[in-house]
Amino acid sequence: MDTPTPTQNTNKKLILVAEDDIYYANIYKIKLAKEGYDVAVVGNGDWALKFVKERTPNLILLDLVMPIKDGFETLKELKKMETLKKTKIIVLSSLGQDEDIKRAHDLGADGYIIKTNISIGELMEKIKSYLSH
Amino acid sequence: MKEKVNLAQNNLVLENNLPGNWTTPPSLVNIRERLLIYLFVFITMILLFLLLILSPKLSNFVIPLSLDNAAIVLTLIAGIMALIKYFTRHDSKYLFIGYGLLGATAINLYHDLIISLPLGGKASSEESIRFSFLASDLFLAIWFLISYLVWKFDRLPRFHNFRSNKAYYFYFSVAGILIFLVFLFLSNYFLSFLPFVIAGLLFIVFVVNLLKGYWKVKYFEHSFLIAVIIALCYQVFLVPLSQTHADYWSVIIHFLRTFSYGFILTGLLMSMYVAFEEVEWGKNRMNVVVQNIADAVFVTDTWAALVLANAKAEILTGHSVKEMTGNYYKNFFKFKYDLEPDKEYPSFVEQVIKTRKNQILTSPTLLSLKRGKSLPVSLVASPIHNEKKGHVIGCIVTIHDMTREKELAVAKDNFLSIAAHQLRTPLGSIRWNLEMLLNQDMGELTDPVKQTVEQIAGSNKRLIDMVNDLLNVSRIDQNRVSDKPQQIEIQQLINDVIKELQPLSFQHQVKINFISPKMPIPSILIDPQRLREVFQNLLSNAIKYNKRNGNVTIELEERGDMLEITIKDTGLGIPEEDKAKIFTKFFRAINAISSATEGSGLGLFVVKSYVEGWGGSIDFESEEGKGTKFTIVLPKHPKQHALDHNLIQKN
Repeated sequence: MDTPTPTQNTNKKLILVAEDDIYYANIYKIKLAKEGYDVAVVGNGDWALKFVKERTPNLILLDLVMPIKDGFETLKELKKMETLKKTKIIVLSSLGQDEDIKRAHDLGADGYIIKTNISIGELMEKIKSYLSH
Repeated sequence: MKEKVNLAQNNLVLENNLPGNWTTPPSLVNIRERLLIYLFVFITMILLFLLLILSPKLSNFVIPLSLDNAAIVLTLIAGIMALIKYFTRHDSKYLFIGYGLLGATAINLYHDLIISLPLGGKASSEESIRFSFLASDLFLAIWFLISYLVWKFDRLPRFHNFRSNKAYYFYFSVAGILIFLVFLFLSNYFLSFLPFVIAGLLFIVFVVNLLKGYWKVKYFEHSFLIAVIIALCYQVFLVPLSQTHADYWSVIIHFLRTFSYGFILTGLLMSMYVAFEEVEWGKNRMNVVVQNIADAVFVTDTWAALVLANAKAEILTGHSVKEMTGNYYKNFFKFKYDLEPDKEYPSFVEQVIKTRKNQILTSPTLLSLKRGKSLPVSLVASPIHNEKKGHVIGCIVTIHDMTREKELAVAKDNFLSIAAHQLRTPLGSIRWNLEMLLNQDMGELTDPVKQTVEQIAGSNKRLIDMVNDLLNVSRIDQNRVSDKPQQIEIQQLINDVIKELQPLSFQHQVKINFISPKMPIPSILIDPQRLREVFQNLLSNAIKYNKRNGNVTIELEERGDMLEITIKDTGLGIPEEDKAKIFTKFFRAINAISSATEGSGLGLFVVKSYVEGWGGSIDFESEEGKGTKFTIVLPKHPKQHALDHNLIQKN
């Protein structure tokens, strides 16, 4: 769990990542910052919802398996929020079963990326393309 | 003893009669019963005797004669029964016992005749009457002795060859006759003594063996011999009594002799009864075993109509054996393929009968039960041969309930999926961290450090591939491969794979040549990821195990209903002794291992499984040191791997 560090620089795009694995969280923080984004990493769905009440990210990356509130639950509630109408919510998970993908799309996810199948470079490409549309 | 058998799965209680226990038939257990029968015979005969001597009308002449007649009848019946026993059981001692009894019958008949009919015009002498009386006992005694010796002889392993041509029967018979004749004419004195001596000897042998524990209840057959010996012992009384001529004693002597023959006959009848009981017990034993087999078993004749079925088969089909007997097996046993329920299940019983070979049906099979349920089963069907002629007279089918195995497979797969997932997660974060390092996101990377990081990245990739391979292999093993087919341009896919492998081919300095087909190949409906894996495997092998500056040539051609893809390399080749094993799991040929290239050994196993699952085939030609050529043939309309829906568990 991490407390988000909002910045004043509004030129940078803000990406919110909900991920409970500390190793992945660390990678996101470093790499996304390197790529020039504003990064906020939270450890569970509750924190994610708290964050979006204060700030509106440009993109949300959501892990599915999280404690307290899992990715699906969080997705459902995020989708209800007015402030996030223009924010794409992408599921970024290591699970890749058909049922999971279907469920995510049914709940309104704008994309589904399987972490374990791609390189970090490819991930950055995808994020770029999601943000530019 | 009634055995109640509990078939745990279905709570059916069967009553299976197995009198006695597994190792000894019942009559061997009820020795009291048998002794009682002898006692009964004993008492009956005593009573008959008393009746005879106490009846006033019968003269003292008639009684011995009637007793002699009775003796003739008894020995005749006993002799015939002994011979029947010999012919049915092929136990040589009964042959001699039979001879003895029939011989005694003949002599007794002679004795009767010379008493009642004067021969040659005058009454027979006392001498000849007594002579013939004792001769029959002597004859009987000698032949019993011979049969005992034969029985002993049969057990000597040394003389097995001699025994097998039955010539020894002749020798023993001759010996018996000679002894009889010798003692018959040697002396009158001997004549009266000899039966007594023989009886005494056999009695001693009997007692000794009894004490040694040899003639235990197990060898009940010998109860007959015991009876014989006891009977012969009565002859002992004949010795002193034959000296007197008192009518009273004459009656007693005759009675005792008849009595002893009655005993012999009883012994024979007992042993035949025992033999009969043993057969019944044997039948019951087999029946109990078959009934209690946990698998369902049924037997058909050559028309595939049911002949036999066990209790489990009754439970599974819901029909009794009576209902099923004589009817076509498919009326009660309805099988279908688990993964392709509409496909017709083969008539395997008919096939077994026709081909005379076993059939083990391995595809997941379901047996339909009542109320729409079904059971996963495995089947084995074998032909039953007629022992004499060797032709097939029926088929026996064993049905094994696979529910437990299936559950284990699901548990195993769940475990593997979870394990794979747990392994992939940290491997994934390692990979990204390494990529960031190599991308110099964390700062400049000096050469030695960079090389080290590249090494780590390489090993990490191997681990990731290994985890993926293991999961794939386990899915293939359990027929849990499920395709997501799409219309694929196979040419395009091959080109993509070649592009993907550019770094590898550059690293190994190998040139890849793709000879496109002359005519455009139609797209095929196939799982692209799996097809990609197939080509990735074969091409990366072709590159990795190639010479420096070697070549890889790929050709794609249409051949009628099939597509043929060949991948030729100028590499190490596959050694002769490894050719047969190349497609097996974890196998790496020795030259591949020593070439210091990486490989898990799973690649070709996966390739073969996929290709064959699509209805295609894979083959290769290879010469060590020169190169290898793999040929894949794929149908234009591949079969799809179907997922086993019963195995999916919602997490």
